[in-house]
Amino acid sequence: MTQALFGGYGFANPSTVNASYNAVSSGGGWTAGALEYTRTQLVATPGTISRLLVKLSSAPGLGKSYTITVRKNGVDTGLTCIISGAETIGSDIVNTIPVVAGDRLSLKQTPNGGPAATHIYWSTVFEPTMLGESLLLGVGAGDKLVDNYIRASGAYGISTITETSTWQVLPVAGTIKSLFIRLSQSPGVLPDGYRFTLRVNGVSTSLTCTITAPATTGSNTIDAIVVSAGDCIDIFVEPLNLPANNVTVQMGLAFVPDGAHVVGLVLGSERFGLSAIDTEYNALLTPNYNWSWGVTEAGFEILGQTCKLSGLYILLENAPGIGKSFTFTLRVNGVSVPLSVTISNMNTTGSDFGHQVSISDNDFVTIMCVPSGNPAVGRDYWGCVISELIAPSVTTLQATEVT
Amino acid sequence: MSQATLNGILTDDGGEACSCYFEYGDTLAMVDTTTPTIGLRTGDTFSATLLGLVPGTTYYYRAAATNSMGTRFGTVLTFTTLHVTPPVEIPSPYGVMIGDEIICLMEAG
Repeated sequence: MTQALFGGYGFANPSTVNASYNAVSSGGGWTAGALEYTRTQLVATPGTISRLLVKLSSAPGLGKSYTITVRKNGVDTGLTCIISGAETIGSDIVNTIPVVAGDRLSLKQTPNGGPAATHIYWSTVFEPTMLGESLLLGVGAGDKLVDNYIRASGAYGISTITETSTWQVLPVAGTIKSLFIRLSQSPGVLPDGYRFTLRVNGVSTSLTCTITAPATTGSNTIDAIVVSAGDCIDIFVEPLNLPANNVTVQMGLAFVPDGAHVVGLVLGSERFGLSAIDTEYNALLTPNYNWSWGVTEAGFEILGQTCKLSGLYILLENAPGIGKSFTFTLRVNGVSVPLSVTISNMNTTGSDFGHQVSISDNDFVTIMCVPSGNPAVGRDYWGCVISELIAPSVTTLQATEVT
Repeated sequence: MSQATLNGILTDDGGEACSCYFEYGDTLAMVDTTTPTIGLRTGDTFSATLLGLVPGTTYYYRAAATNSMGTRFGTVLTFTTLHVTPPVEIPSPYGVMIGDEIICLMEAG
């Protein structure tokens, strides 16, 4: 039971001179070494990370290369690959790195010899030690002046005071537990602190964690929150006692889905609103709340690897309106696949649990939205399920009407 | 001849729609199968009616579900079709016994 962690960023190239960093799951703009902590996510349940796949939009060129390495706790691991010369794909399907709850994960690219500029896309897999547990990897920010909100999973650290902008919708029911937090610096001087709370549908839960200066880490492995399909989650950040410092918040949560064949989630959301006119595209796994749809698909790709995607669930802030609709469709390598949801009239939710799409190594994945009838727009949230097929189970019942 | 309706429930589709059917027969080999019901998901029930069964016979059967990862079976259960008593004529000084009934031919005494 392995969870594919999709990643990539197609809107800006990393440096061709210096090493730069990104998040292992999802992905946003590359950052220099001093800011690696803004792309660092926390593991919330033990397991292994393996199967690093990397794809470039442009080959490095003769005698030049990129080295892509998964980092744990700020140190390069053996999970690494080099793409050189005319190659555009590379992988490390040999090495496996063990992780425990609280470990920090990030991704580093190192250019060698002045390679050609390129977008970089990547993916890995997580195999949990405890069967059925999956990762929600996040990084956000804590504002020292006001209560603020961050997404429960994401790729770089920003926050907002508008909670619904950080919501992510769960496509399936399950349990969320094991909240791990690590701050980029101490909140300040005792009693300065921050409290972090998982919220479900805008209501605080008992899954909370308080970090008081001079500490920089905290966790809650006691509380577990039962969630339903369609629930929206986010993390509430409360500054306590007027902390002196803003902080970047590295996060990890464990999600234990109901249903043995669900091995993880891919969550996306967007706050600016869909177009009422244009067909638009987005990343299936968006890096943060401040992320918009675009009319061209290029740039939104994230890299997949062998797995199944199913259970596409869509939540709209506003109903499209009578006779109007939005249709959301998963796309693989620029082609629509039969995992699609149409939300029309006064409905605000829809799902497709009847189809399953096979993703292969190095496939690009995006999501497309087609409006019809000039629908009303608003924030939009989506999630789908990474599933691992298993053989079915069936029960024989007593025969009836025997004559 | 006899008949029976077999019933099953898909307890876990394994992640994709399944095809469900029954295996049955008058021995544990259960050499016959029913026409599959396709597109079933977790929690769906399915059934099949067997016609032309032999009266007074014990049949074995089990539910089966198939997806792309394989086929799994439910436990083997049995049912027994009812006896149909053939009409038997028994001579009698007063009438004829046909099955469980005596048709009176004449008044006694």
